Amino acid sequence: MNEVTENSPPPLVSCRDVVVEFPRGGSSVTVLDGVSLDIQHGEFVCLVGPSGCGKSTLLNVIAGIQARSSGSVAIGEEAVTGLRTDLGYMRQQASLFPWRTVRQNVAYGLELERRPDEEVKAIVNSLIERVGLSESADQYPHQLSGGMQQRTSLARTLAVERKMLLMDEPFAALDAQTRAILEKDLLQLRDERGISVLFVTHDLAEAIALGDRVVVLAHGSGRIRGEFEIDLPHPRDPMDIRVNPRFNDLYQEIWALLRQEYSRTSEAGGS
Amino acid sequence: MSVIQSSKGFEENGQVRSGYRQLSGWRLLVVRLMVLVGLLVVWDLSSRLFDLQLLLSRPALVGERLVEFSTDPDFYHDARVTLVQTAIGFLAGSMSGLIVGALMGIFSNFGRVLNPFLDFANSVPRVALAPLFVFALGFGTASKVAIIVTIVFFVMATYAEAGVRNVDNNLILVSRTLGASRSQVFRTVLAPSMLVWLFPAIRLSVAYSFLGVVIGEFVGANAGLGFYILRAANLLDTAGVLAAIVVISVFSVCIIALLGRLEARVLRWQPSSVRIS
Repeated sequence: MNEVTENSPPPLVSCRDVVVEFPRGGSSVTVLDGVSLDIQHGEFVCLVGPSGCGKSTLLNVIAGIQARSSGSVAIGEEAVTGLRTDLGYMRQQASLFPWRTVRQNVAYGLELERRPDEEVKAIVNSLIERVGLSESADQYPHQLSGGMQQRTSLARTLAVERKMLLMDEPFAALDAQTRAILEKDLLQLRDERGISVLFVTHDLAEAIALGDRVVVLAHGSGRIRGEFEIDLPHPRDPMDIRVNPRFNDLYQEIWALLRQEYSRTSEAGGS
Repeated sequence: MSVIQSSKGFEENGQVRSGYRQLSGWRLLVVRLMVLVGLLVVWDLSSRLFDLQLLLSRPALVGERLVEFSTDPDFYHDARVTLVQTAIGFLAGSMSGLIVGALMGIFSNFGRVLNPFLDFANSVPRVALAPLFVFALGFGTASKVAIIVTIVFFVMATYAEAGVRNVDNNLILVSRTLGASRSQVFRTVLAPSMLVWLFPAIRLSVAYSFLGVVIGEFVGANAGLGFYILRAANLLDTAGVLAAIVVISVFSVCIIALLGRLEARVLRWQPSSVRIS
């Protein structure tokens, strides 16, 4: 499905036979067992699978937060050996700095880079407007709803320009409307900036609506069960695309595979 | 308070508003003044009714003494000596405690090695050391500073270590993935989140600093408010003792109140219900 020919450009991220084992008691638990995955420049890849299948672990391995037991991970030509600061990383918890206002949170990464004030202001303002937080720009995180906090987190991640975003269920805790808006923003930004995204979700519809490719991780075995090219047109509206007949075909096709994994989860959970 | 009172409350911006009207501004001031007057009356009555003038003196006598203080150059000298000693002791003790405590939190092995020693040192009754400090360092400022440091250091170190340990690791991860260097993580994540812990520690330290200075002046001094109290007590001058105590307490309360204002400004990002103190 994902033929890599000799003359295609080298991938942005390349994982080869990645194995991750966690010590558990005396033995160890294999979370990832030989995962190989390439992500091309500008590609939007969604990872789906039941909880505990190692989606987040794979993301953390690429981000350099989680050490791997064997295998190789490279970004461009460079092997991942520690925490990567050249990738955007966003998780389900907003983890905002409580002592910073929305504006200051969004500006954080730019301040670290010591960008000139004027530039920071311009970038921050446009992003805050984009995620619909202009009204709340000077509020502190505890004054915000969960959805607003997550929007702030998204803006903070996007403020620093990175060639790739790693996103771990970033919208899972949001209500459906907020989620739809942010998904649309994310796709637009991706198209504008040409960045790559690796997006972990447990929501197959979201994965198909957003992704260029959906990768299914298997329950328990820590392996890739299947990969699907999402040949839906671009630019997309992640809400509207769901009524596209092709969307439905893809959904059925991937769900057929995914449901087997989910039924294994419930068997494993029942035992 | 607000949690207990919130049965009629409703949520607004995530904060529970109580249905009761909260006292504030001049109303609060008036109620507080009434309480003060009440306490003074109780004081005066118990002194007269139970014939306890030697123990309690009387508010009017203490007030008189305070008025006398205001024109007495010796009083100003004593007050200045006490305040300077307290300030130096507080600064030395809290700074060193802050640094050691923060290092113990950051380098957890350092903390692990040092913790039992600190616990032991903190269990020593510091009052008992006061004669030694006077013996070794003399009747002047140095012995008082030393006593204050032995108390305040541990308060600050304990809170500073707790502050570092309670930093949200997710925030550090966010900071580092956005490219923060070690010193940037320290400055932009560790330091601000420690502030929440440092304010209560500073407040305790101020009160303990005054405690330490008085102990030191009791044990060996030739000036200072503690010295004045000791001398007045020897003359059975209860009003003098109480007047000096009032002065010291007022100093302490004023500084703590100023700190409270500073805290409200610096920690204005906090939801008020989460504040530790």
